[in-house]
Amino acid sequence: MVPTADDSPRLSTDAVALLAQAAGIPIAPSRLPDVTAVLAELFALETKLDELDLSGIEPLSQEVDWPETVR
Amino acid sequence: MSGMEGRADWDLTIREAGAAFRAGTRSPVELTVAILKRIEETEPVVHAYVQVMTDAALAAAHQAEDELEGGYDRGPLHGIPIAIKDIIDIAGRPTLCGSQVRDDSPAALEDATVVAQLRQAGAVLVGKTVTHEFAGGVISPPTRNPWNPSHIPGGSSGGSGAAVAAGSCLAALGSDTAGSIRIPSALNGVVGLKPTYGCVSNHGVFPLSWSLDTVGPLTKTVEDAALVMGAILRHHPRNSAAMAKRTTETGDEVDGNLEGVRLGVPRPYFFDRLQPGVRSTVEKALVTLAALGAEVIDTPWQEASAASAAGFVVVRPEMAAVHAEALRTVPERFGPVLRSRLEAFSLFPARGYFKAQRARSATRSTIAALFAAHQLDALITPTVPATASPVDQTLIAYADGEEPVHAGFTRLTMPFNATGQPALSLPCGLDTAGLPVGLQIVGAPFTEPTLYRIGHAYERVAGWNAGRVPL
Repeated sequence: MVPTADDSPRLSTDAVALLAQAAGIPIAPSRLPDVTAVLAELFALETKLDELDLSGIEPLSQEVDWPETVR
Repeated sequence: MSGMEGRADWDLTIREAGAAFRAGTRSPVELTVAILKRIEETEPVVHAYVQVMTDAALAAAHQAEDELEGGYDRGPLHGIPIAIKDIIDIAGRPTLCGSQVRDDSPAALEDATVVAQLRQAGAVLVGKTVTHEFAGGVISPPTRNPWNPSHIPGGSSGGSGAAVAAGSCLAALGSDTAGSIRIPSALNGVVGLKPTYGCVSNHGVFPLSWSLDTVGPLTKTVEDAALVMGAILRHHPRNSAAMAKRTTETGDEVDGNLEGVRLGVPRPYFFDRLQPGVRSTVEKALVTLAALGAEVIDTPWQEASAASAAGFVVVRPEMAAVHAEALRTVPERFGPVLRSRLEAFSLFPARGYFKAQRARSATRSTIAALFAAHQLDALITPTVPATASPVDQTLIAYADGEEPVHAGFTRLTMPFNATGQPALSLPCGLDTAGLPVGLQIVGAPFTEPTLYRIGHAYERVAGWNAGRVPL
């Protein structure tokens, strides 16, 4: 199933406000809870990637070759 | 009614219309006039179009007709009315992307490569279709589902899917980053193809995510999808992602049975949580495919969930990068949901983005190994876990709980955006509410002709194609 914000380590609105300030992205206090929930969900999705062994694996970007083993 | 076999002209497929043109029983101008009339009839309910290009379409239809009469035949799309998703540039018209951010955008100076290719193939462009805001959602307001206008058309290519289903074009272009061609195809009961990543140009297409965006066709039949692909597949030097060495054939393998074809069914993840009507309809389709001669085998793909997560973790920071300038200068013009998402995505660390790109590599290796281990020609899954939701519904209901609409409708499609594989959605029946169910056929990269063969064989015996909407 799709991870939710509840699956992520707690991320406070204060921490997001500090991050946003450092990044130069003004976020009104009234909208901080929504932004925090979205960012927490994204961090939760990232933790889903921990089930993969990524040792020695390079990023995939524009490369689309397919292993020749496929018939 | 004046069409072939008692059907209206707007109900014809590309193949049928082309045959009628060459037999002299229909003309491009007659068909275009019929489509424009159909648009007038259906738009008050469906709202699929942002702009209808009446004068330009009629001029193009007259040119197509003159050329055919003069013996100049541009091929299967010559004189065929086609609609274009409004994130794709058409010269002389603004590309509004479904967002107030683009309200003041000037007209595009040139056609997107795919639009130029369609013109070169003789297509008649009839208009631009509704997209969810910047192609980032599955609702596509104000478009409604022609099967039941109180339900969503899906998205983000919702206008394209609804227009094909309503018969207000013979085909449309869409784009697919997490499922945005296949989702509206499934929900509107039409065919949609997300080609192999990089096979179709993105030049002149407003980006959602550079790493995943893929333009492709929405059509009434699998054969028609192959015909459109035949026009837009060609390599163009401006396509930064185009393949220089490998190409994908189209059309030649559309006919035939499925003897010797091996189809994998990854039940964990893809069949875990489905509405009952989707499950039963897809299971019937599997029986049909086996009856056609295919060998259908269970092939779990353990990394499917991780592939989906990798895709979303790639898309979201890329969205933030695409919209960084607008978010800084005109943030109030974004819809409130998209604005919050972009602000959040802007704060995500690069470390996580590259972790996701590495995860894409890993999951692609695992799906390639699965294809190799089982000697698979394709995977079969439902396209989406549910039929079209009511427009005011934010959650999809299952027997064991609920799921947000966006997460639910992209859950079974995104894994194959992450891996870059071609994926075809075609209708396989209706649920008990009379809403279409989509079947997803997924191949190895560059094997679109295999998907056409499987899809067309299924389509012929299942009898599913367009023209059944109650409008």
